[in-house]
Amino acid sequence: MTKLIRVLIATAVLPGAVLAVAAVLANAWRDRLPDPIATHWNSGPDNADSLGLFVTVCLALGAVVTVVVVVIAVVGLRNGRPLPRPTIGMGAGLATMPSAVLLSTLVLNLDAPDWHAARGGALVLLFLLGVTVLGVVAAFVGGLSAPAREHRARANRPSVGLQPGQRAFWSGRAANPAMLWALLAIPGAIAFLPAGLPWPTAVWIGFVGAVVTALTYRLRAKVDATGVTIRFGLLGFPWRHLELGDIREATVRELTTFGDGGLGLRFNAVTGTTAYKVRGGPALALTLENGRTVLVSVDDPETGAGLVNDLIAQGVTRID
Amino acid sequence: MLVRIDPGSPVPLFEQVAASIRRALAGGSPARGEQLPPARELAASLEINVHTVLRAYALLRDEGLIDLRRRRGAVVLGDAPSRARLTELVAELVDEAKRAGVGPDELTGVIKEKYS
Repeated sequence: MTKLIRVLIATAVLPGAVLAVAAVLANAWRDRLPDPIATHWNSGPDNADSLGLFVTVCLALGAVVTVVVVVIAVVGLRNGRPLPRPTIGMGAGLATMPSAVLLSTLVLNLDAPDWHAARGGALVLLFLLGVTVLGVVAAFVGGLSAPAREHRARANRPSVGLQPGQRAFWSGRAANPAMLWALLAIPGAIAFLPAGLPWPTAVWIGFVGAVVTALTYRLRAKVDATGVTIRFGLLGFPWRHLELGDIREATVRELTTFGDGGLGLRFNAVTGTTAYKVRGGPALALTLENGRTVLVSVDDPETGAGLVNDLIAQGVTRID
Repeated sequence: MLVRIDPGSPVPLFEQVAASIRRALAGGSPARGEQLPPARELAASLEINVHTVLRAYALLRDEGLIDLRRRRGAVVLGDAPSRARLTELVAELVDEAKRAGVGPDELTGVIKEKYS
């Protein structure tokens, strides 16, 4: 089975089949459903919509989301990007969600004389479980790692000229004081601007913002014979350790401040890129053996990248 | 900051560690007020004894490049870049003097002459 067929089964065939079943059932049950039907529950049914409109909106939404997910997955595959299992599973689940909403709503309304008499909503959980199962199946069918690309010529890789038998340690860091200023300004702005927020919500948003900024305004990366260790902020959390054996190559990449999703810890599921960022500018770019990329915005990344490449070339690995 | 050592070299390890850090300080990174990596971490990464690293740090403190404090660790001092460059140049000068057969007294005389 080629990769394209597997990806298409996961993202198009599975959600598409559920969508088709939902459409057929909606048509077959037309005479057994009240019109309008109950579409919202709050202990009992408390809102209703026209049957035709509800069915059309759900089916159209399902079709649109399916097409979007298929296009993203196929384009990613064509560009040789990794399609991690969680991403495929999430995409397939998202595409199936409108069908699940439609089916569960129809089943609860089935044979009710009037929308007020629709049954209670615990059955919905069963359909959500169905969506989860489909997502897991899709993840295992369609999730792929990137095709192993040819090793590039070693000549253009950064290097620090580490000789056999030598040992080395590199540490790079970066901080963004502007983020600290934002830390002071944003909670104040939320508290004093007439944003229409109740004050406990404003305080809560300010608190969460302050904690996140305090954790992520400073960044450190360390390279030695065990691999690369990335640590954020004051507490050294979030952190990540990459084994040298999992890294294919290290290079330097110029980042923009708001590219790759912005500042902080950013994960792009489509490109498989994880960015640890406190600023724009030169960053250490690690290409992993599984095709993913890790970006770390620390100062002097040329030296760090050179040491990573030299250590990989030396085959120096240590188990402790 | 890159620290590189060669266990096969006749130069003592603490001097190799100090030389690497001195070169980094001369280049301005880590800058004034920043901390050097904790001695224990650096020792673990280089697979050397922690006292070797501490001896290197003590040497750098004696040269006026860093300040060693409890809790805060090794902090880079303000005039570290120029002092680190000076220390490197003096080492080079002494090596050259030894090669040329010039003794310490004669060399100090030459330096004093230059100052006046």
